[in-house]
Amino acid sequence: MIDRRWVVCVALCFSAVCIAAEPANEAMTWLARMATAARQLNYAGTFVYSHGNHSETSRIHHLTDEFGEMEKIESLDGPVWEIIRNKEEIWCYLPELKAIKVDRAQAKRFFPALIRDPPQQFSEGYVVKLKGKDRVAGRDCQQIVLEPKDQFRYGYRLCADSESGLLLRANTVRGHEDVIEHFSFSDVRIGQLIIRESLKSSFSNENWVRQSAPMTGASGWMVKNLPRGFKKQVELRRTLANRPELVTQLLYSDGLASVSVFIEPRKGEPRSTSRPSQQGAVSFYSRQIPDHNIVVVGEVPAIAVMEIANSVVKALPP
Amino acid sequence: MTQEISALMDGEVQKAEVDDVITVCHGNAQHKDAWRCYHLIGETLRAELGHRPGLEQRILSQLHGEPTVLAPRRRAWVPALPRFALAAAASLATVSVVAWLAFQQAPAPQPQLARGAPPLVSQPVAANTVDDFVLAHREFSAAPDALIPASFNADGGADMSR
Repeated sequence: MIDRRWVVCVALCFSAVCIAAEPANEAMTWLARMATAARQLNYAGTFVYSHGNHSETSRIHHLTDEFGEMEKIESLDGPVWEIIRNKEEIWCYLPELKAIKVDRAQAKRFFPALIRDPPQQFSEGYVVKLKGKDRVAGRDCQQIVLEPKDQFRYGYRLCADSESGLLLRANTVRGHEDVIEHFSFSDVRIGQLIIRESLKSSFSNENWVRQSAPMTGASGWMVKNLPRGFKKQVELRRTLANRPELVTQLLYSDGLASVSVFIEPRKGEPRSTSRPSQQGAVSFYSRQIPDHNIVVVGEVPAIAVMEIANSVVKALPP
Repeated sequence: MTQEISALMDGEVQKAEVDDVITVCHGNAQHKDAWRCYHLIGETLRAELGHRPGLEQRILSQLHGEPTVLAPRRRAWVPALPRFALAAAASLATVSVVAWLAFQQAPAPQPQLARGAPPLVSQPVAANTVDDFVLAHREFSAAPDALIPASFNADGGADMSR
């Protein structure tokens, strides 16, 4: 009897060791490294963002010191803008409009901080795998792929700096080869000294218009059948152009893909029939229910925005 | 099996299963027919076929002989989805910027606007309904310029097909 127990015990220990050594777990470790590196390291560089035939280049400086995280992103081509971000707030400077737009930082993700903790959240929607080594911006990097487990999200191919773990390249992939969004450093320096003072905005913003972030608050609306892995990030009551009434926006994310559900009060009859539309990574679907229009937008396949729109219900009075 | 064939055509079959679906599809005349039929539907919808004399007549007579399907399959094929522009064209840029400024919740923008900014024109904005929602969502996307009102790219190329 004792012998048998020993066998079971040894077998269990052995399987635990096996699980620990599994490549999937190693891939998860890389996701955790990416999240930590983007948050804790100092880095400065230039990155390209492209989707479809559009591309733009931005410069980023990120530092973490005893006061916390701070980041500055500037456009290098097209219109001039600057984004200054700390842990709580995003300040977007638009000199040509003489305007500053302030937003809450928690629901917005920036490259290279696309991956956040905990990495386990990704295993609900994706199969996370390690691939081979590659090179980005003159640095060796480790490729990690996230393959979608269902038809409600796209896949992601990441490459993280071998030395520091910082994300150097991220592709959103539809099917096997179709890259629909692309982020990549063309030049990056990691771990050098950055002075907080240098991350201040270059613009004197005297007499600029300032827009503050929309209100948050529970609306009583919910999505009954969310694709797995999606969680609510923020719930807003906001104004939109040409709309007299406040619109509710529920933002959901599975850690990489995000979807907004808008609920807009409507007077009178439905205006148009529903049909999905799609451009690049963004899908759109609207439907009418009594007294309200439901609009769903997200960087997910069209089937996902349709499924989500069709399961929006009023759970509680606001 | 027809579900799998249509999923294969849509590129939605997992990589590991592709070979299986193709093998099964290849080994069965009925499945081969389904494969051909779905392609024909797709090509017809995309208007890739030339005119075929007598085609309508043949379809109508064949439809006559078939039972009515009351519960259509969820999706045999996905027609090309309509596309939307993310932002207004150049001529709308100024108006859209005004709209963007207007719909944001400014704590007290009026005095500042009166002092510094050009006079605002209060007129209906011809912005696409879809675009307003897409922009409001994109504020949370990782795209670096997504916080910038798209019409701010005022040189005319500011749409998502840019």
